Amino acid sequence: MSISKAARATPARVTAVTLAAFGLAVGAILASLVLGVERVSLARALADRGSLDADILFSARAPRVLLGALVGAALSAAGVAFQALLRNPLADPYVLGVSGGAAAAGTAAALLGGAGLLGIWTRPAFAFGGALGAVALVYAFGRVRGALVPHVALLAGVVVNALAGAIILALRLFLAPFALADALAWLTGALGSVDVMRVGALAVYALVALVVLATRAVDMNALSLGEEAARTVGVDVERTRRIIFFAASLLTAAAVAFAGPIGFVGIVVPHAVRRLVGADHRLLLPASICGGAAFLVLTDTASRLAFLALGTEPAVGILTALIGAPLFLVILRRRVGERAL
Amino acid sequence: MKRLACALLLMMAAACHRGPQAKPREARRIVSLAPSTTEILFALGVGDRVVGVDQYSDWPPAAAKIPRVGNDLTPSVERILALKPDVIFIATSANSRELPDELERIGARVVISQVETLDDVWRDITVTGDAVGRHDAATALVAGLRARVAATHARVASLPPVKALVVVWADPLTVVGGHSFVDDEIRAAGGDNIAGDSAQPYPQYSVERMLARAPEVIVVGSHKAGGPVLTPLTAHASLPAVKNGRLHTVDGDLLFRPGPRLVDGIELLARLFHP
Repeated sequence: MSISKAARATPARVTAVTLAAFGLAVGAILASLVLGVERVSLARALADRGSLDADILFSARAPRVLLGALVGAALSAAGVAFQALLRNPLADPYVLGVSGGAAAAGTAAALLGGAGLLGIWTRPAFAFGGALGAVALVYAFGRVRGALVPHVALLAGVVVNALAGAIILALRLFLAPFALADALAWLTGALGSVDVMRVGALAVYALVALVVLATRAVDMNALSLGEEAARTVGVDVERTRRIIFFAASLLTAAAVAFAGPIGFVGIVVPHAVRRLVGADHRLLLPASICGGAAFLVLTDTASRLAFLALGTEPAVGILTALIGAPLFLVILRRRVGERAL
Repeated sequence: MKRLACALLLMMAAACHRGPQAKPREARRIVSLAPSTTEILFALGVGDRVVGVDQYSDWPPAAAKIPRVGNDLTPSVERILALKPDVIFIATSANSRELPDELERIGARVVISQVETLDDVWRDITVTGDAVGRHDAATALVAGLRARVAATHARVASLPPVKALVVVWADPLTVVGGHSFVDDEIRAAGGDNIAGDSAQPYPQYSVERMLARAPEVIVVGSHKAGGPVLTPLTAHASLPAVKNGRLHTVDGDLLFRPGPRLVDGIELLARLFHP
């Protein structure tokens, strides 16, 4: 995170990198719309909206692909933000307790059989509420004399996640077998059957949070250099930390509410992107947003196709972890190797 | 592999208990750790001897008054001990593998039922009857149930099978695949399970594949907690079952519990498949 790399973030380079990353994301989305479990004729789908091809493409495949893109973008952006906030490249979107709160409340929703008053919105609503509760807890206990202190917040987050784990295990005792299987699938992180309504709701919400984070890219650079350095360049450290904390937490909360706590996206994508474009957040943030969208969309397509022979379609979280963990280790090894030189 | 080895060991252990040398004595105090077993025991006329059940045993209504010994995965061993049972029934699908060992160590007779196919259900009823000294009642019960299935099947056998899908959970889509007694129920009721080629009994299923295979009838089994969410299914207008009003919700316990009421489930499915 040297100044020299930050200095290279000229407007022209920011535009070029952002456009390239955006192109990658669009390419991944288009590829995933074409590649699916069933063969679909694009021409027939567009010509006849009542056709089976149209139904598969527009009501089954497209919402899922778009949800994957949004969730991937949200988790990657939140990962970048938390890494800047905590000044630790190992931070992920779940480190501050958001996933724990969402997971515990989402499991509680399964007690209602997935069909409370809110119908299909029951679990997202519960999970979102749980995530907000966790964020409030971490914010309440992560402050010293009124100011958010990253390492204190980190400890509070670890404890909230541990507490949530215990609550989930307790709730599982009350779940009927089928509800238990469903809750487990969601806890793995799954882009299940979704509809345009839910994708649209997430899109509007995520866009606001992404824009808030994007406008803080320069402040993230300053925070990465340390509290003193940030003050020297005139950054209101407390206020910036608060904004980044809430924007990233609320973004993660929404992603988890719809897709469960999908692992590794928020940590692998920022790392890979950092290696490609450097640590300047003006480049890192937009490239990670697009890269995260591309990564999750492609991984979900792979998981839809990989287990086809078994006649089943497992949660994408299994594959992101299977791909993400080894990839992360490779990146880690190469970084350590470079530093040793 | 390890699971398979465990399962084999358990089956051998169970076989020992059912062996001819273990003379079936009259069981006076019975604990059932599976709702299906509880239903079988009541159907065999020994419901009044059941002194403890798992928390999901809710049928027949009299079963609800029996003391609970906890969750089916982690029942209270102490509470089971205090009930001084002669025999404890366990379903391997629901209970942990370590539990039988633990219960055996405390000296109780443990009978394990393992049900995968419809034939296993009949066998399980007979084994349960033998274990409580009700061999003749069990034989008669099985004969009666099989006769009802045969009669239902006879009515629909000559009709072309209806492309059907039985949904366990709508979001994410979880259905009845192959290799399960529910798959056998669908076939007996004159249905052609579109997910029957899945290697898993209850797979999470591709929505695209469901659309492409276009089931004519979709049956959603409801669970105790609240009604099922149907939106993920009704959202697809191209599904023949949705278009033609052949998306039905039924009591999931009739379909998914391997007990005597599953024949009610088969008759219900047959009426929905071939009205």
